[in-house]
Amino acid sequence: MRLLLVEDDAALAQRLRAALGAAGYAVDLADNGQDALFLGRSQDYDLAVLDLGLPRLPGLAVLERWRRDGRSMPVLILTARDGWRDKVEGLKAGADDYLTKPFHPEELLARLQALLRRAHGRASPAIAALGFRLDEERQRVVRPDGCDIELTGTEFRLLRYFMLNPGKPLSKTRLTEHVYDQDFDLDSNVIEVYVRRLREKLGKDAIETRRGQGYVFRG
Amino acid sequence: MSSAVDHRAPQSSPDGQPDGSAGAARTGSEEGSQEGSEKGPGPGLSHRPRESSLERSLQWTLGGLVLGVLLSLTAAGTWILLQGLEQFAASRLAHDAEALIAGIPAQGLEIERPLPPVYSQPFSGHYYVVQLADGRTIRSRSLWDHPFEVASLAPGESRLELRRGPRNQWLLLWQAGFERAGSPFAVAVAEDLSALLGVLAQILYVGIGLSLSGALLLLAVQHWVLRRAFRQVDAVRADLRRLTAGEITALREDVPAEMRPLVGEMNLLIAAWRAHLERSRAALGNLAHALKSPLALLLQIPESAAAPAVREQAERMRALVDRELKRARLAGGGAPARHFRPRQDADDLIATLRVLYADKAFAFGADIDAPDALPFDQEDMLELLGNLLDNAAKWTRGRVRLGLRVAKTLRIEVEDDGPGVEPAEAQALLSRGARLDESTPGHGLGLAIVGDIVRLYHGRLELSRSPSLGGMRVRVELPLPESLR
Repeated sequence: MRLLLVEDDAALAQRLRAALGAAGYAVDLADNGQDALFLGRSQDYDLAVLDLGLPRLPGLAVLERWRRDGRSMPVLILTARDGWRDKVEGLKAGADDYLTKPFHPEELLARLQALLRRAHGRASPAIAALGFRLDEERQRVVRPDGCDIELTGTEFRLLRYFMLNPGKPLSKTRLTEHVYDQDFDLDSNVIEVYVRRLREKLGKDAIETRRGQGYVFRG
Repeated sequence: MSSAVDHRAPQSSPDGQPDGSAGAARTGSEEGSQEGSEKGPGPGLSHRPRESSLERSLQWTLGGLVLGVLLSLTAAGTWILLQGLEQFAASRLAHDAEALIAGIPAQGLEIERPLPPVYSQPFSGHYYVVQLADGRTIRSRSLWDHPFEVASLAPGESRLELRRGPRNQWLLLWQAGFERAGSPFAVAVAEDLSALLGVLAQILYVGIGLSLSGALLLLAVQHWVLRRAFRQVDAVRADLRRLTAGEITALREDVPAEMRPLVGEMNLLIAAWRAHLERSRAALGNLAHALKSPLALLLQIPESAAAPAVREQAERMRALVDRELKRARLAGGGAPARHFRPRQDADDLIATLRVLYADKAFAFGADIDAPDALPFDQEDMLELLGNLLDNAAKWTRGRVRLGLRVAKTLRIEVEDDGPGVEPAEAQALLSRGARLDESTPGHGLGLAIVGDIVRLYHGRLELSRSPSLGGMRVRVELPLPESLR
């Protein structure tokens, strides 16, 4: 899951980046409104965490322009402004959730997971597809036969993206983008390696290769 | 069954005084009770100063002045007329006296010169008496038997006076002392002026009548002119009312020249106040931001790495900062910067809560009976409603109801079908909120802010069990601003 973190407080941003990375997100960081606007427009993110009081361009303006450009990723506003008018205005501008500082990291993670599930049209709190169920807390997957399978961090991120988009062909580039942050070298064939490992753990037919299109998660 | 906290300041009971003119002084019932320090009826509850009316004082002074001037004109005119009349009559009397003196006989009581026949007709109004030194008194026949005193004047002396004569006639009496051949004598000639004096009195009465009606007419005209002038003031007053009601943001400046400076100053004041409010709110927002990021950082330290005491204190600081910042941001009564729009703001809040509680399915029923805009500060009301609805959404099992009604007060009711509270618990919740002891996350702080707002607006906050939904019911009643009552 690729996540854009927009936060101008460097210390808080570093800590958040670490916490989000540990939870399996590929995090890009923007510390001002202009950069945030550019990244959100040019890259394909699964989630954005947006501060409102930003240098160069206010967070609300960034959000409004993203939405005007048709960027529809779920956006969580993370801000110190806790008035109800700010909340109403934030959600009117197109935010999907609103969390006020200071906050507990666990709450932020829980809300981001809920946002992702909702964005992928899931009503049930757990990510489940084609008999597999993802345990996000412990970063494991439960097979249809009830067996728990351990996953590494990258495996977990890759499988979560597959399970959120079951049946859809996903190109290697797209997978790389959503599993790693922007500093990652896109030419690498590391995705192939992780797909092979997932096949070993879930069964050969779980992920199908489509020539010229990429991979499809079928379970 | 329910417990309530009444934050109304005792002075500001809405029916304490008869409804006077809208701008009448609202004596000292302003807040100042941030800490809920309700004192007894303070010195602010004094008598309203006697209304001074421009029109009334103008009427008294101008009316009195005009009446005085007209009356003295009448009096002076009448007096001058009287003087002229007397002079005229006196000179005629002197002429008659000369003829009389020439005809005084050496003996006997008959005047030897012919005098006008009116002196012979009884009580004709023309009389004479001659008092001779030898004791003879020659009287005109017209005097008949009427006794007539003649003053004995020294020769050369003369006197003019008005006196009562026979048959109640008003006589102008001319008397003089003479001397002929060494013997002094006195002559008195009188003429009845009753008819002329009657005419003079009539003139006087008509004059007084004209003065009175003139003064009345003047007052009427002045009243009309003033009314016309004050209609312009009424327009400004209506503007002020609309300003309070939030329909306009400044007073119109197309007023008579005399009032333009006043209206201009008021507009400047309104703008300055608005800017000040916006500025302090922005400053507080920045302060909140500045304080909260370090706190957020403190809270990011994992539970394992931070001493529980540090975490607890950080949590406490967070709550304090939250509470105080929110409290400082409240606008309270007075002319609000932005007006509360019940229907639209409630819709916005409900939409917001639906997003914030997207994982929770519940039905929102809103029953709103209020004008489009109310002169309450929008941010305060969003804060109040937002916290109440947020609590309800947090605890509900599926149904939340919002009732908002404007009658004599603004009444807001938020009900849910959650666990609710018992009356004793409700009381504890309210006071706990006030002491900021956060043992029920959410309920305490939200209600504390609601309590602050209610106190600022001199309203009432009441917690009870919802009769229809079974959960918590929070009822808030805020007195309406004077312009809506």
